[in-house]
Amino acid sequence: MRLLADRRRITAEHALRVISVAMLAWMFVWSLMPSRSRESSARIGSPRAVRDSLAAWSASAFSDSIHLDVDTVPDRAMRDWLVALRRNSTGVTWSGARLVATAVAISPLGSPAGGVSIRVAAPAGAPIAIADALGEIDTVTARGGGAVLAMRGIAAPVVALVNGQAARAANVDSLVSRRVAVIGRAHWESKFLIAALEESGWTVDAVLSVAPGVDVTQGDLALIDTANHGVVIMLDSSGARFGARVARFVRQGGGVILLGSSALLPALKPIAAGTPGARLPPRTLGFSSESPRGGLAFQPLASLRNDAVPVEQRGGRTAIAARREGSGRVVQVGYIQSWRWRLMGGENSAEAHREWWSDIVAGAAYRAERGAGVDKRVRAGGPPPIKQSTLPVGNAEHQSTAVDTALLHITSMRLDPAPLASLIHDLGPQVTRPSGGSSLLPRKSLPAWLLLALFAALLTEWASRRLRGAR
Amino acid sequence: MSEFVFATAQYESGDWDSAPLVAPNIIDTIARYTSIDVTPSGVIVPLSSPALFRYPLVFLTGHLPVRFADAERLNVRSFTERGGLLFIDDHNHDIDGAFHKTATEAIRDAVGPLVQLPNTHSLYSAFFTFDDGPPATSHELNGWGDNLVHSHLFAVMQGTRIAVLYSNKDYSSEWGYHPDNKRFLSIDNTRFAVNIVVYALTR
Repeated sequence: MRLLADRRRITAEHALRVISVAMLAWMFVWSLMPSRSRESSARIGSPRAVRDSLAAWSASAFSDSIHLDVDTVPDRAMRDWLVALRRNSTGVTWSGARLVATAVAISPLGSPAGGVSIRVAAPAGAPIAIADALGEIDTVTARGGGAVLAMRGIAAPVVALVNGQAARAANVDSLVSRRVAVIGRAHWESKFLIAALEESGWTVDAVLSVAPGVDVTQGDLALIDTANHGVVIMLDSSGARFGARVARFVRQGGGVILLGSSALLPALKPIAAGTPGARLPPRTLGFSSESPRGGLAFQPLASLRNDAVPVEQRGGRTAIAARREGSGRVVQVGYIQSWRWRLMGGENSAEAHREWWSDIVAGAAYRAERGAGVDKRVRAGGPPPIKQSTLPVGNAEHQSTAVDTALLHITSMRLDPAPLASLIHDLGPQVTRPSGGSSLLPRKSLPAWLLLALFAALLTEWASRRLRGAR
Repeated sequence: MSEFVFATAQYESGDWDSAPLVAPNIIDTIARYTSIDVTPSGVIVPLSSPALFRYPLVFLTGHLPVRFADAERLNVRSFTERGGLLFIDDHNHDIDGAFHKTATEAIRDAVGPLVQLPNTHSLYSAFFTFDDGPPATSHELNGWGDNLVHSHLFAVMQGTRIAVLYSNKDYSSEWGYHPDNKRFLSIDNTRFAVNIVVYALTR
């Protein structure tokens, strides 16, 4: 009986030895097998899931192909990690049918009040939540290709959240606002234009003609150059003697705003965006908030040059157009007697008139960067951001604790102004998810299981031999 | 459409139309000395009317007490806040008369208290130069025999800009004649009106 038991025991020991050798052989062969059957695939719903998977994949010696199926773009750190894996011979592909193409860009406003222009790219109709480091600022609905907001008092970075996809950007250097020169006849338009600009913080130099050979002057217009002035506003044709200097100023990088007959001056006609046409009466009797400039007469700009861009249209005709001349900017305004809007437009018309003119001047102004750093007026935070949104504001009740928390978390992350574009740049265009051959098991689990089984078999075989006295 | 229209304020109390010749005389002066595009005839605009806002410079005069109705007071306040200039002249050239007392009260309630305007203010050099401040009128010097010469004008300021200009010098009498009669003057006594108009158009 004992001999029979020993034989069986020895047979079992041989079997365990064979199993161990077989497992070793299997592991050896498995390591040499092509990667098709060892591809890892993961459906990722959150940045944390991507991060966890990346850690696992990176620790595994068996991953040589990874496919991500994501519904939000992995953040910049994770993308860098994936790029590192890719450069170490791990194939990385991705797909994401529900990814939102969004981007955010911040540029300083050339206005003495400071502030920044925030441009967000988003699909039409998508809700956009804007936040800075201090919390949610505003929500808007994308129109066309996105939304544009003007704000001041932001604390960078700024985050735009579109359908769960965040884009982060920091504001760039602010601009030095130079003086504005106003040239024309003395009339109500000149008075209220200067008043609007000065009330907005601009310093204005002016030469206003009141009689033949008699000008009312303000400030210094002896030199018109980009060291002194950012914009020249030509109100009419009375400033003919300044025409050549203004044209040269624009070619040097300055901005000019042409009103009325000033665009017909011989020196300025070559740089004008178009030709002012015959005067058209106001479209509406009064000034409404829906059409604030509908109550103004205007001269439609005709014969627009090929490189001119219509900025504002009324009734299918161009009321404001702009173009570049050299490194300068030319804005041509067809509206007449905008002062009537300020005086006759109702309760907030003075403020609206002021903002409108200030925006036009800021858009045309010569842009001199302030140097390194962020504008102190913006950085200081100060009062809550003053919104000058050019788009309708979304539902103010949109604010929620969850969104606030998410935005505050997101603002602490690295800048990522165009996540999807960066993902494509880093990992190439998306590919269709490979069919078959994929496993949802992490690759490292197979060698661990094999190793444990191998260890158990060898230990059992050794213990059996030692217990029966064999070596 | 001409840019500058001389507007005379019509108010519910008092005699707003006591100096009908001032408007044509000033219009003549503006056309004579400047290239400002001025409408040949003036307009009369009720202080309570929205039409007030079509005319950023408005002239107000009278002899009798002035009491602004609510609509007039609100309109004057908005008018000056948006950048309009109200030029008031006391046709009595008084400092104790009914017009002066009531008009200054009405202005205080509508816009704010009047303060003395320095004689170095840019108003006095806006076109012609008046080194001694507001030019004296013949009525101050010899017309009434009361030796009452007002050395300063008064104003309600909004920032650095004059929102209400107030005079007790009786320019309404001084300028209240047919423009053709300027030829009999060695020095045109309406020249200061040019300064007021140019100041209003440029500041």
